[in-house]
Parts: sequence; structure tokens; C-alpha cells
Amino acid sequence: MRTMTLPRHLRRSATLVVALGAAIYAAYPVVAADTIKIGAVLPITSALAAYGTPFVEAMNMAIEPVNAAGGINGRKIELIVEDAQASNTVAINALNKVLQSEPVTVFGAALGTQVLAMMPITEREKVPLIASPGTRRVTQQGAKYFFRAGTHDAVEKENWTRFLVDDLKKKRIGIIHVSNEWGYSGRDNTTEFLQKLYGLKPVSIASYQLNDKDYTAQIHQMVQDGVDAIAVQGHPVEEALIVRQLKQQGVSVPHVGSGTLCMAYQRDLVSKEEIAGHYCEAPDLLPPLNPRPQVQAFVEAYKKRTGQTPDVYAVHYYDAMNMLIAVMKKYGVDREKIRDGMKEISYEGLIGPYKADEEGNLWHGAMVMEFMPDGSAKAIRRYKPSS
Amino acid sequence: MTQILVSGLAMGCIYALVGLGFILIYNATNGLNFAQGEFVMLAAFGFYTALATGLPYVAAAAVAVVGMGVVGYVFQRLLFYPLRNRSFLAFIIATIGFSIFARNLALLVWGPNPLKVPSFFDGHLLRISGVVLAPEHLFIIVATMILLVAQYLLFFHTDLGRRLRATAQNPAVAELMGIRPQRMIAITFVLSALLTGIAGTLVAPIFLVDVDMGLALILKSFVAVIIGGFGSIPGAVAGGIIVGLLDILTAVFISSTYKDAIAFAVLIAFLIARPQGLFGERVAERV
Repeated sequence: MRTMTLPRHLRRSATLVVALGAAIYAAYPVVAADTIKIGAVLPITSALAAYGTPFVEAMNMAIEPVNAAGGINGRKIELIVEDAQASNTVAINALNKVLQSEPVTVFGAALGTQVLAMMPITEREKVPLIASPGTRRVTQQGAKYFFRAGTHDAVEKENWTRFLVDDLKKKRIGIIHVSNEWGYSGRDNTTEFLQKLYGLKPVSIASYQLNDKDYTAQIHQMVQDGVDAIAVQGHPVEEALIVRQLKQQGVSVPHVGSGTLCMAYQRDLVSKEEIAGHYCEAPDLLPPLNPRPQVQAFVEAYKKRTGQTPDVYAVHYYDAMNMLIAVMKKYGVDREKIRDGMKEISYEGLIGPYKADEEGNLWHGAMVMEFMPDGSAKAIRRYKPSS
Repeated sequence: MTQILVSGLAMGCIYALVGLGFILIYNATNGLNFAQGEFVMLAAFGFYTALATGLPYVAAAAVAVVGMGVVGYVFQRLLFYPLRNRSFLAFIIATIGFSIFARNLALLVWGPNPLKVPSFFDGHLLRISGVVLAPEHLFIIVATMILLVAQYLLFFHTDLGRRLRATAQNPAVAELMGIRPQRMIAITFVLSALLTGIAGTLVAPIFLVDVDMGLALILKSFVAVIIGGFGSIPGAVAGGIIVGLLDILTAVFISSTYKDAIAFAVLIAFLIARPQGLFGERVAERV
């Protein structure tokens, strides 16, 4: 029987492969064993890419000074980013991948649909999840490890409902919304507050799919149903296009867009001429118009870094990361200590105070703004808790 | 109502142009170019960049369109020519790969934020007997009509057009007649890219330019060419216009939530009842 030796050329190849493998293994940098890992699962690509990189940049802006000063107790912070795209399935895969690095906290997208998808996993793994979706029911799931670094939709929609009925004196409200969690949240919360506060019902409700670009039909329906005000809850591209198409269809009733309209304005998706006279609601003033010097400094630094103006959600991510860093410094760098710290600590961010309520909501402000022809926005109504 | 029809017709023209580009390639090569939507996307981004460098409006559009012609030639050379003797599936898969490549390249070059291209008409609206219309929509309709006439004249009244049609009908016999099929195919790709490029510059001001804009268009255009009759050029146009109008009329009169579902239900109905579409020939199998 022939002995099982490899033919010579194969033996050479095999040696080469082993040598190469050893070289690669040796050359592979010994991973800085002691970095503090923070995960980030956001849509870096896809139709929702606007909710990704701009916020990663804000988070990096918070991390870099801390690392430059030596990190936390000598350990540098490492942000591990994975792409969630516009799909919950991809987001979950991205989360699982991030969890393999054993992060002490994970940041999620400002998208209720993705956060709701990721929450069962982060709850099971007992890892704190921080994100700023507006969707109301994200903090109604009984989650123990979730913190919302922004306002929830019930606050924002109550504010805009009061604005429409009390300030603008409108009773025939029409709602246009995107067909996903964010859109449903706007529709349902507005409907609920119209009913609860005024005994009114929305006169017309129309929806559209995420990638639709033409809203002629929805706007036409509003006009046909005789609305005297239109509220829109969608994503930046759609809200910007709706502003334009409202004008094209000659619609003159007041229009208020959700926080994403402010986002769209900051990202130059709609010009100041186009948006003048329209309203938007947001968790806080547009950062460039915020008189606080620390906000102005942040806006300048962000512009220098990315070439874009930050919206208030970018500020939320910056503040939330800094809040997390403060928690890690004070309470410790493990998941349970971070969770306890986040529940207790009061943190003064760039735009104001962040403090967790029983549900884990950290920010409690909302305002409605009117866009002026000169490009500024005037705050019309600030949210006051009704109870 | 006029507004609705004009808007639907304008979108239909865009689907028609994209569908036409798609069918031209199919007729010449038997290959399905699933990156046709990305041609629109790249043209729109190219238009944005050309404008950003300070070129006047029309020149920027021309640059974007000519650029797409070049892309079409390179596309054909890199993706079709090496695979021309393989199964048509190889080319289809290559185009799907190109689609992914193009979208991610655009993401790297232009970033994740959608971009705004100003309109030639700068927000002015037309008022015709009490109806307010967006001039961009009318322009799209007029431009598409002109392009269709030009395309017809090219194909039926020029020597080049005859040669292109001959190659599409039967490349082997065309070669025997002294036509170089590979050159004709290259020209067809360039034409297809030019048409789709024009669609991109037309659609950029009314949408916001983003990386995924091609995907929605290719889907609806595909439905359009099937309804119109796969392989038929008048069919691609008719199908595009029908899909554009159907889309908006369904949204207005039936349901804006379910309009996409209804559009695809119509497609399924066509595939069951009249698979050759409106203008297609009933062929059992295309050899």
C-alpha cells in the first residue's frame, strides 16, 4: 500500500499556507485587551442612512476627548459600529454581531421599529440599550435595560395637538403618515389626544410607503376631505417632499411636520423659502438657533467635522454618550452598574437636563416651531406637562 | 383631477423611459439589466455634482447624460462582452452585482444623506385655466414625447437604426450582411444608458437624490414592461404610462395604503390572463 504522502507540489503549497497563516496570526495586532466596548447598531446604508453616520459622528465627538485624556481609569472607549440598514432582520443580525464583542452598552437607532426588534435580545442579554426613537410604545414594554435619549411621541403629539387646536384654532385635522411604527405612533397619539383633550376625531388620515416619492394622492385626499390643518409624520425625505408638493397642489392650510422635518431642514433637503410659514415639532430648538454657547460650540465643531449642520437628534446622541461616560466614571464599567447609574443620575447635557423617569425616558421637552422667511425658527409652543 | 392625471402621466413617462432602456438591452442581447435603476441614480448624482461645480443648468444635465453614455459603454464592455457567449443568466447576475456595487459606491462618494437638485423652474407653478400644475411634470411629459419621436426616427429612418434592429432580430444573419453585431450591441447599451440618464436628470429635481432611488423605479418599470408586452418597445412606453396612472388613480380613488399591493395584483392578473402583455407577441420560448 502506498504511504499517504502528498505529492511534492501540494506539500509545498501546504507549507506555504501554514507559513502564511502563522504570519497572519502573528501579525494580527494583539487587540488592545482593555478597551471599553460600546456597541452601535444604526442604519449606515439604505433609505434610512440619514439616521446612521450623522449620529455615529456625534457619538465619536463625545468619545474622542475622553480617550485623548486617557479614557476611563486608563481604559479607552471603543465604539463598535454595525450596519442595521432599513431592516429589522439586518438590525438583529448586526446586534448579535456587536454582542460578540461583549459591549457594556449598545446604542440603537432613532427608529422605533428597530429598537423594538432589538429589545428582546438586549433584555435577555441584560445589556443597556440607549436610543432615541420617538415611537411611544418603545418604553411601554416593561424593559429594564432601555433608555430613551429623547422625547417620546406622546409628549410631542400632545404638544402639537394642543398647538393645532388651542393656538391655531383648527378643528378639522388631517394626518399623513408613513406606514411604519413611527408613522403609526404619530397617527395613534394624535388621534388619542384629539379625542381625550377635545373630543375631536381626525377628519382624514392617509398613509404612504417608505420609498414613495409622490404624495399627490394623499394630499388630494386631505383637500377632498376638507381639512383645515395637516399634520405629517414621516422620515426626512418624505417630509421635505411633502412640503414642496403641498405648495404645488396649492394647499394653503397650516401644515406641521414632525421632528424629522426639522431634521430635513438641517440637512438642506428643503430650502428656507420652501419651508417658510410651515411648522415643525421637535424635542428642542434647532441647534444652530439655540442661544446656549455650548450648543453653538457643538454646532461649529460638528460642521467642521462633517460639513453638515447637526439636528437635535445628533445632540441627543452626543449628550447620551456623555451621560453614559459620566455614569461609567461614577458607577463603574459593567452592565448592571451602568443600568443602575443611568436610572439614578441627573445629567446636564448641551441642551438641558436628562433624567430617567420610571419608563426610562431621559428627555422630557418638546416644542413646536414656525419657520420664518429668513431661515430662522420661532418657538411657538413649549410642552408643559398637563398633570 | 387634472393635477392627478398630469402627475401620474409624468411618473408614467419616467417608468416608460427606464422600461425602454431596459427593453432595448433585452432585445439586443436577451439579457435583463437589473442595474437599469442604478443608471437613473448615477445620472441624478452626476447631475448634482455637475451643478455643484458651477456649470449652468442645461450644461450640467448634458454632462450627466453624456457621462451616463460613457458608463453604458464601459458597463457593456466589462459586464456584457466577456459574458456574451455564456448563458444569459450570467449577465443578469452580473447586473445585480453591479447594482449593489453602484449603490455602495454612490454611498461612499456622496454620503448617506439625500441631496437636493434645484429645479429649472425654481418652484414656480403654472396656472392653466384655474388648475395649478408643476412645470416639472409637464416638462417630463414633453421631453419624453420628444425622446420617443427621436427614438422612432432613429430606429426606422436611419441606417444605424436599421442595423440596430437587424442585430436585435438575428445577430448571426446581421453579421452575414456585414453588420458588426458587437458594435451594434455596444451602441444599444449606450443608447439605453443615455435614455435612462435623461430620465435621471428629469427626475432628480422632483425627488430628492438618494442612493436607493433606482430600486423603486426598476421595480415599477419592470411591471410596466410586462404589462406592456415584454420585448415590445411601444409596449414599454404604454406599460410605463399605464403603471404611472394606475398608481396614482388607485391611491386617490381606492386606497393609498394598498396601492402597491393593487399594482402587483394587476401584474399577476396580466401574467395569468394575458402573459404577452398588451403589445407583445405570443411566443412560447425565445430562442
